[in-house]
Amino acid sequence: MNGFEFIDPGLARAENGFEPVQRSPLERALRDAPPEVRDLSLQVPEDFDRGLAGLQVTGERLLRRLTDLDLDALPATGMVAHVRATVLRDGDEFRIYFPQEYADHVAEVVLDAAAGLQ
Amino acid sequence: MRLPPQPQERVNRERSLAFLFEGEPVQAFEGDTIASALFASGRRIFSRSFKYHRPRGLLCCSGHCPNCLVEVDGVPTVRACMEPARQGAQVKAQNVLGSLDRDLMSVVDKIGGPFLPVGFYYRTMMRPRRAWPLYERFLRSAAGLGRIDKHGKRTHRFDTEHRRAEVLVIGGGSSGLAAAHEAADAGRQVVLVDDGLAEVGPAPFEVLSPARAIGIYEGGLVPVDAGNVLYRFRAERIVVATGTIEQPLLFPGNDLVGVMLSGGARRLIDRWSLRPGERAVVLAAGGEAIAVDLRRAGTEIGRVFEIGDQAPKEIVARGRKGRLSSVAVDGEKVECDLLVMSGGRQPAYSLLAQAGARIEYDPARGIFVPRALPAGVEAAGSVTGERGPVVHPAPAYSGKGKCFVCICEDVTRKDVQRALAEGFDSIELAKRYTAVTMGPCQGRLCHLPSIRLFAGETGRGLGALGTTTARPPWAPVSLGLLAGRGHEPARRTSIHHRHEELGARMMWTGDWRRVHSYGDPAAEVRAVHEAVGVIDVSTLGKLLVRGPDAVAFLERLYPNRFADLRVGRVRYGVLGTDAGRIMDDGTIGRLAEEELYVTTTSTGAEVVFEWFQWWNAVWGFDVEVANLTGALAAVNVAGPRARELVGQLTSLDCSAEAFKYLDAKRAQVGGVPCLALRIGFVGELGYELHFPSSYGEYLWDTLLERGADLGIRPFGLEAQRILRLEKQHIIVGQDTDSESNTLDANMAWMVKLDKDDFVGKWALEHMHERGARERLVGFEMENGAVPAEGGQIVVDGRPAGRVTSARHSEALGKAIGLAWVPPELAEEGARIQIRVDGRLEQASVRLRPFYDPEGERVRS
Repeated sequence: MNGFEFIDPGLARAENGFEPVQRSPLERALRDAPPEVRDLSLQVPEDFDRGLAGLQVTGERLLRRLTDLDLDALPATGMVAHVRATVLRDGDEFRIYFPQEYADHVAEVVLDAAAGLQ
Repeated sequence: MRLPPQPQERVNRERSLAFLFEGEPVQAFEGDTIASALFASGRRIFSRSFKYHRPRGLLCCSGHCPNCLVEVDGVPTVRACMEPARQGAQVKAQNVLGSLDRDLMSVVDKIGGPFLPVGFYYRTMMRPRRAWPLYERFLRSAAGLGRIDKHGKRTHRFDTEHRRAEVLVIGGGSSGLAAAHEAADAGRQVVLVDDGLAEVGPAPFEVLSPARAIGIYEGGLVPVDAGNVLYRFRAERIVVATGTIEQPLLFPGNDLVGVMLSGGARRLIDRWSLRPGERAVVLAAGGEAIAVDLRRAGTEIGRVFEIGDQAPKEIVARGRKGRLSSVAVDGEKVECDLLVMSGGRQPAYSLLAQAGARIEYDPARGIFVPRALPAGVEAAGSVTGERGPVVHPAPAYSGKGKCFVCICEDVTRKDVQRALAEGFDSIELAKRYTAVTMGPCQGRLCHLPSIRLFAGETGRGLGALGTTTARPPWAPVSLGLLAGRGHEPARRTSIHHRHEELGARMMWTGDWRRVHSYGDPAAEVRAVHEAVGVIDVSTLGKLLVRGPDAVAFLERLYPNRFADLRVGRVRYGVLGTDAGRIMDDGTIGRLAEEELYVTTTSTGAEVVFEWFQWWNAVWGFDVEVANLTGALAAVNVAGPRARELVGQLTSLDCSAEAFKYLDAKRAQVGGVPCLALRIGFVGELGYELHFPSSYGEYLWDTLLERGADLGIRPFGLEAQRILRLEKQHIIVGQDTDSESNTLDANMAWMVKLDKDDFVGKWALEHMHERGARERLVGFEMENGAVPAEGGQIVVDGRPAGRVTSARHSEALGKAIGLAWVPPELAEEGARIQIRVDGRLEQASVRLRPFYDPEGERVRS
């Protein structure tokens, strides 16, 4: 038995009447999200065990309401929406990766901050 | 009445608006503050003082003093002189019993003085002691300024924004502007913060106004209050250009309505085109220049007195109903309704001091000045203390009547003299005793005068006395802004929403949201005993320990033995501290020769992970530790029909022979890759399934769907607590505390003192030799009463132990629990007494599990 094999979601198989379905931890929270907030959770690179949730956020001002990381010195790891996260930047788009169990909380903070900027 | 338009006037006379003050409409122009509009309407009394409830009028008109504090739209303690007048605003007076003009509490000023000296609450109202609740209620209702609605909800939105600046300039006066322009011209990214007092026009840099820097913290952090947004600036360079603050003079009657600082009078004239008074006396160095401005506003000048080293000696202001009527200077009495004073200007150095600057007394200028600024922080303009007229007023001018040193806290000259007489001769101690500088102005108007007075009274120099410590907040800030948005970080399992859909009652376990119950804990317990139940245990800490030294590593961390743990088997372990105390518990499964899977308590995962990493660094084992807590979901399927259910979902042989108690097996359950552990925390046949969290809802749904015919029921923590109590399984942190050890907790069987070494071994050896001081035992109540957790065990009328867990067990028909008792009572059947609702109830000690003591069900 290999320790890491059994937790690889890629090993799930549809057979014998079972059809395993993965669900993003952000799926519900971002159902009505504005276009500047997108779910990346099921496409997190190299996150084979689904330990991380991912969000794409557009707009530097919105990021400034979420983190004290230096946005000109990304990628970096620090607190985002009170949760330890890694942030990557591509122009005005930011990708935020954080422990998936905080998904609802982070989504709540991000959407609230976005609403505050409307 | 307004003056003709003034060159610097800020009001737009074309646009008028109205607000309510104490229910009465007040007309204002756009650009007015609440204070300027009220003053224009004829109002002169704006507030009542903190202690004596004396009438107070406009003094500084620049947001420094406490004299114009009002409640605006339910927000207390708003400075009316800085708050823009808004259409429809509801403005009310505060700290008033009755009305602003007739405050019943002003009786304190008439008769209370001798009974209410500074610090009276330390000495009076002590007896009789039983009357203290009465005194306390009275004092609490009388003290304080504004009132907040204890049941109020968020009425304003407050946000926090993190900002960076190459150069942050604080203060938009001429020096601040010059510094900002210079830095911007040099190509630096500049942000200028101004409180709104200065005129900052269009600029080639960002201007935040009105906004106030609250303080300068470590690392150059500067929080800036911009109303509804708190900006947390980090700047490479901070330029402090906060200027100076005009100081009042100390003389009897110096708080009367009509006594103003020269800057306040000038602002009324220049910005709001208001005449500060009809007939004025000026008490200032350079008083003639002030008189010129007053005359321009149509104020008659009764007399101008120059303030210098020699004269005057005696100043007394007198009034009627709290409003100034005359001033007598060295015996010369002048009728007036306005007294304009200036005791010189003190650099507003607080932000510099917070940043680490040294504050020194400059005897030549008679003020405190900042020196030795820290790297990255600069001072610009008059805050350096190197500009402006030099004034050396007397510490206090003699005369009869109350002479206020601190108008925020109503501290008089007599109060300071009394404090000194009582031995509070250090400026820091006297500050705490008298509360000077501790009011809303935070020392802006009383810091220098109080030190001058202390120096004068003690004969010691100001330099020797020094200053009190400058602490944030430098500018008043609302609690709402500091609190920010009401978000609370919570961890939720990937099955959380299913629990909510089932109507679960949620509870906090550390920072996890967990299910307390789905409405009927007793039914949930029954389902586990009689059919099958399922509980979401995704919150368990899950660590993977792998490497050539993995077993040796855990052998050294735990008191248990793992060298003999075969691949595919699981063992219960209790983690101890260096001092042999219980730290956490969980199961350790050997997945491969060099791979072990460790579970921890829900709240202990992070601590245990760090503990593992720390010891690994110390010992240098060839081991990797990975924290998979959030990545994996877990459910425990338990009950006599659990095998039927799990067997339907997997091709794995789940028979008792093939999948034994304490086996760990890899399985595909419902198509999802799982690690299945046969363990029995709840005392029934059970399978703990660990699997990728993204399949949480799918597997949960599948279990409930396929288990419906078997009578499956989801169960929560409350049911689990009853079930595990029936088995006398402990919960670390509930049944143990920071002093509990494995031996006393009845788990000596797992402590292998014959091992070479493990964390806490020396302590457990000592405890073993010493013998138990207390023991954790089970108990059952004789009359069925359920004691409170934490309840007393009583022996011979004295407290001798405590209940840690207690519940009614429907399966047993008894009230049962766990308790720490003296070792001599840790015998089967021993009788103990437990205090329940004040009465002593009988209970019997039980050392074996209450339910299925032989473990036949869990092993089945």
